[in-house]
Amino acid sequence: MSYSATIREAHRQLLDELEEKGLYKEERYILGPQKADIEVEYPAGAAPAEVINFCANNYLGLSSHPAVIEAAHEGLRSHGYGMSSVRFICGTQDIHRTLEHKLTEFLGTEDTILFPSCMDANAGVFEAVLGPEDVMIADRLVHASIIDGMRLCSAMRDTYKHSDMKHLEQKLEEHQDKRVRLIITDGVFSMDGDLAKMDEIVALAKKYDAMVFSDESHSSGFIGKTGRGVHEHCGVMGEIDIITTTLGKGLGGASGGCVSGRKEIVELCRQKARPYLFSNTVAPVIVSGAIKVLDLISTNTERRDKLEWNTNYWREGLTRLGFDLKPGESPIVPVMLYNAKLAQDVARELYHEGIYVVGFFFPVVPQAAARIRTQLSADHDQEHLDKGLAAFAKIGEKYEILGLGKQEIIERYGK
Amino acid sequence: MTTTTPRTITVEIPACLELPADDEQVLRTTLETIITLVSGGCGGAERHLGHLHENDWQVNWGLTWIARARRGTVYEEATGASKQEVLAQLDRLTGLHEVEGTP
Repeated sequence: MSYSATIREAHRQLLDELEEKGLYKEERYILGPQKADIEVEYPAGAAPAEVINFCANNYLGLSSHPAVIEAAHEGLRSHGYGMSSVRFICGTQDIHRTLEHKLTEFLGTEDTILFPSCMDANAGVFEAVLGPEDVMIADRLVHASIIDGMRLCSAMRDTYKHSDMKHLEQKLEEHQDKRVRLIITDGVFSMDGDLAKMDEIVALAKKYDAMVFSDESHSSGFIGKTGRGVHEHCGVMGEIDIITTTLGKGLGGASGGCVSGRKEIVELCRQKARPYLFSNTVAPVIVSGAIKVLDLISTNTERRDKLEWNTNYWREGLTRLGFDLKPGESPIVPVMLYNAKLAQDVARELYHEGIYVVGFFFPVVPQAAARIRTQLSADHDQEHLDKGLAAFAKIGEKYEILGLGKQEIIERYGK
Repeated sequence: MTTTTPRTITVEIPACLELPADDEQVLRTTLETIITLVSGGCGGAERHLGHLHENDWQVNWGLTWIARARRGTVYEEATGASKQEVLAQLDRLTGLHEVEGTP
C-alpha cells in the first residue's frame, strides 16, 4: 500500500495538533561529546552556543571519560564492531559474560542478563516470568517502558497510588487469590526524583508473599553508600527479586540494559524474553566501555560522593534563592513552576543565559505541575553550579517567582 | 425455504419507551445469543474453529462484557463476566496512565 495523500494529510494534522498544543519536541544538536560544558546548535542552522548541561542522565560524568573511551576503543580492536546476531545464535562473546558477572556482583544479585536497552529489558521480563494466573501491582508513576512491558504480559495489571504503602497493602490483600503477586516500582522516580520506600515494599512483600521488581535506571552507580542503588540505600540488598537497570545513564551513558536478580528468573529471560531472543546483541564496543565503568566505580566512590555534594549544594542554592523544589535526595531536582508556559519561557531564557534545561508539563507530568527538571552530574564543578544558580536567580527575579509557593505562582500565572 | 442470503430483523422501539442503555444491550445480546445457538454449524464460526483446532490452538469462547476507555491517544480495554467487573478492571488499567511520564 502506498503512502496516500489522504493518510499523509491525516498524519500532518496530528503533527500540527502537537505543535498547536506546545507538545512538539525539537531536537537540539550537540556538537561534541556529552559533558557539563557543551556546544549546542539550536535551532538548526543557528550559531553554536556554549552552555552548561543540566538535563543529562550523565550522573557520574562517565559519558566521555577518557578511560571509558579508551576501553571502548580497545573493545573495537579486540572484539570488532558488531556481532550480526542475536545472543543465543552466535552473538555472545566472552566480554558479554564478563559484564553480566560484574553487574551481578555490583547489584548484589544471583545472575544478570544483558538486553539492548533497559526499555527492552522491561518489555521482555514480565511476559517471560508471569502468566494469566498472576498479578502485577505497579506504582502509578513507573517509567513508560515498564507500562509497555506490563501491557505485553498476560498477567493481570493493577496499580497503587504513588509511594502509598497503605494502598499497596490493600492491593496485596485483594490479590491473595493469585499465584504470583509482583510489586513493581522505580527505584528513583524520573519525574520527581524521589526514592521508592524499598524497605517498606520489601516488608509488605514478605508479609503478603509477593515478589519485588525495581527499575534502578536512575540510581545505579550513585544511590546508596557505594552506589549500588536504592536497595542498598534502604538496607535491602539481596531482597529484590528482579532489578532492571540501564547502561545508558550513570553507568556510561551509551546504551544497553539488563535484568538482574534470582537465578531462575534470569534463566527464564534467557529462554523466553522476546527482546533478548529477537534483537541484536549489545555491541562489543558498548560492553567494553561498560566493563570499564563498573571497574571504575566498584572500588572507588569518588564520583558518587562528588555527585552527592553537587546535589546538596545545588538544592541548598536553589532553596536559598527562593525556588520551590520537590523534596528529595537524588540528583534529579525538579524546580516547580506549575504553569506550562512559564516552564517553557523560563527554560528558554535560561538557555540564553547559557544554562541548558528542559521544561516538562502536562501530559508528561500532572496538570498544573509543570517544572524544569534539573539533573546533576559528577562532571559539574562548583563553578558550573554557581553559574547555574546565578542564571536561575536572574530569570527567577525577571519572572518574579522567587520566594513564591505553588498557590502564589498559580495565582500569578494560572494553571 | 432455504436461502444463502444474510437477513436482518429490525425492531422499532417506540419513542415513548425509555429504554436504558443497559436494557437495550441485554435485548440485543439475548437475540444475538439465540441466533448464535440455533445457527449451529452454519455461518462460518465452525469453519474458523476447525481451522484453529487443526493448528493445535486450544479455544474457549463465550459471551462477555467489554469496556473501553480512551483519553487522547491512550486506549485501554477490559473484558469480563459482568459490567461491574469490566469497569473495575478498566479503572485499574487506567491507573498507569495518570501522566505520560518523563524519560
